[in-house]
This record gives sequence, C-alpha cells and structure tokens, in this order.
Amino acid sequence: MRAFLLIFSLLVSSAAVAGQGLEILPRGKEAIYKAEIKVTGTTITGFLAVHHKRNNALHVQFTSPMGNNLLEMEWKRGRWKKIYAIKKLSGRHIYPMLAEDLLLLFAHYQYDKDFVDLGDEWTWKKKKLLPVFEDGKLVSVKMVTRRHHPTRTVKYEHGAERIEELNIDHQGFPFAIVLEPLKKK
Amino acid sequence: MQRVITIFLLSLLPFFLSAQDWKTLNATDPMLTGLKTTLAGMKSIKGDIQQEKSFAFLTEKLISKGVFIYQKESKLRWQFNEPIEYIILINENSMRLKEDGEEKKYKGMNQILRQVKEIILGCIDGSIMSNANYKTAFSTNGTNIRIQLQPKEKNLKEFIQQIDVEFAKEGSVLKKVTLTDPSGDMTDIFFLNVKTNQQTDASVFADF
Repeated sequence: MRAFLLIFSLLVSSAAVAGQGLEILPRGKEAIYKAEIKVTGTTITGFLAVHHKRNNALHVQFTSPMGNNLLEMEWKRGRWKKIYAIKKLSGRHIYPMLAEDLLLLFAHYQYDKDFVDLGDEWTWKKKKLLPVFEDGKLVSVKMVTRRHHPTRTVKYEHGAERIEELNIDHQGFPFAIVLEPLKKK
Repeated sequence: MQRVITIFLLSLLPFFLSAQDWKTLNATDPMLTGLKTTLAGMKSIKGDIQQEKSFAFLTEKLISKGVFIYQKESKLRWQFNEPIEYIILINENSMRLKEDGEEKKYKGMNQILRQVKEIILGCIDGSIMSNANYKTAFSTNGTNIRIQLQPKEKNLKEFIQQIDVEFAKEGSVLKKVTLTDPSGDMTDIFFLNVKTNQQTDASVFADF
C-alpha cells in the first residue's frame, strides 16, 4: 500500500512539474503593465507592478496614473497577504476575485500545491482549467467552476517577442482586467 | 570596541546631517510671507513634469513625462505623454479626463479626482499652505522652501499620508512635490523648465 501511495504521489508531482513551463513572467523577473480593472461599471486605469520572486512569491501593486497606491499584495506559499487596498478594491467579494484573477493572469497557480497538470486539462482548487495552445504558446485558459458559477477566460495576445496583452473576463459578472506591458525606451 | 562605536557613530552621521539640512520655519517667517505674496501675484505658470514612482519591491521606477499649464483662477492642463497619454483638464468647476485617446467617465472615482484637483492646484498656486484640511509644517535648507502637509480628514488619509512641496527660495518657483501613500510608497513630481506669467491660449483648458 505504501509503495502504491509513493508511486502515485510521484506521478502527481511529476505531472505538476510539467505545467511549470508556462512562464508568463519568468521567475526572478519584474514588469510594469498598463492596467485596466473594470469593476461593476467603473473602470479604474493605472499601472500594475509585478515581481515574480526567486522563491516563487508574486508581489503586485496597482497604482493610479498619478502614482497613488490603490492595491498591494503578495502571494507566498499558497496564500495572499493584503498589504494595502483602497475601499473600492478591498470589498468582501471584489478582493478575493481580484486576487484569484491575478494568479490566473500570470499562470501562477502552477506554483500552488493544489495545481495538477492532467495533460489536456488542469485542475486547481477543485476547478477545471482548460488551456489552449497555438504554436506551443498558451493563448487562453478557461476556468470551469461548479454549476451555476460564472466562468472566467484568460487570453494572451502574443507578439513577436513577448505577450502584448493579457486579459481576464468573467462570464455573467461585470468584472475584467486588461494588462499591457509598458514599452521599454 | 572603540572601533565599533566609531563605525556606529559614523553610520548615524548622514541622518544628523539630513536633519540639519532642513530648518523649521514659523508660519509668520518673512520667507513664507514672501513666497505667498509672489504666488498670489502669479497669473500663469507652465513647464515640464516628470513623475517618478518608486516601488519598494522593484528595481525599476515608473517614470511618466509630460507638461503642465496653469492659469488663474483654477485653470489647469496636466498632461502626461508617456508611458501612456493621460490628460486632466480643470476649467474652473469642470474637470475632464482623457486616457489613451479616449475621454473617460469616472462614476465611482469622483472623490479621488476631487482630491487630485485640490492637491495639484493647491501645490501650484500655494493655496494648499492655508488649506484647513491639512496640518502644515514649514522648513528651509537655504535654497529651497519646503511645506509638509498631512491630511486631517479620514477620507483624505485613505489616499495620502503626506505631501511635501518644495519651492525655490529665489523666484518662488515650484520645484518638486512628493506624495507619500498610506503604504509608505513615494511619488516624486519634478517641475522642469518652469516659466511664469506668460501668454497662454485659453483653448488648452477647454479641450483635449
């Protein structure tokens, strides 16, 4: 029985490792994106600064074009820690949704212990993720939750050298995030 | 042991020096009354702006560049051209916003924009010095005059912890504004090539 469990756990962990080739923001890298967060009829525009740390922590900060900090949080060892959030973004429903969407946008779920790569589909926290690849590049991921729950779709628009746009849209709920990396001078 | 103490004292030196750089001024100091008089006589001001936002967890800074044009009373064009186009037009009581070529309607963000308007105009014309919504402190380092403002109202405190405004002592020209977030992050806005009391076309405040 022990041997069976050992073989099974090795299979599961090797499957999880297979998904880790999907680096939207590679480990150790940082980036600043032009960001639009559309929350129930309000569009908040600003910049999203992101750092994928070497220990796989993901630190994000959303600021207004005038520089005000609107939201800052860090994902580490499977948990988000809220550092700062304005009222509009710290609501009971908005904040967890935003936090989960950021993990989906940066495909950072692959560093969560609950992520399992089953080949054509993945599972994460009892939710099904359906990835679509074109020319070996991830172009979209659809999240299928339990019945009656809204579904989300993440899309990646690839340019010649990098991803030119990342967006996530909720079906049946007015919430979306659009990110575009800033052009370096 | 003596060496350790020496190193410790030397490491503290920069803090003492920076503290000595800025000397506190009374609200009635002639330097401040002079600044207020000059700003009160200023009809228009324009120049370039460079905003630098530092993130504690990033090596990269977010740098925005653009221009500003101010004319009494309450007319302002605040325009960032890069990394994204972002224009704020203030014409007396109206305030309009344009982002990436598109005029935006901000239903839920009116409160933030009102604060932004009050802060920008107040820093440029100096009226923020006598704004009762802020606790003020004045200081000088010999060449510049610094006004440090801390909001008193709870609503304001949610967005801003402190505003530092620096004017050149000579000519009372606005040099730098530093906004400190409640999270402790800072945004520096540098005012460059500033020109005062020059003819300005009124249409720059009316349309994008």
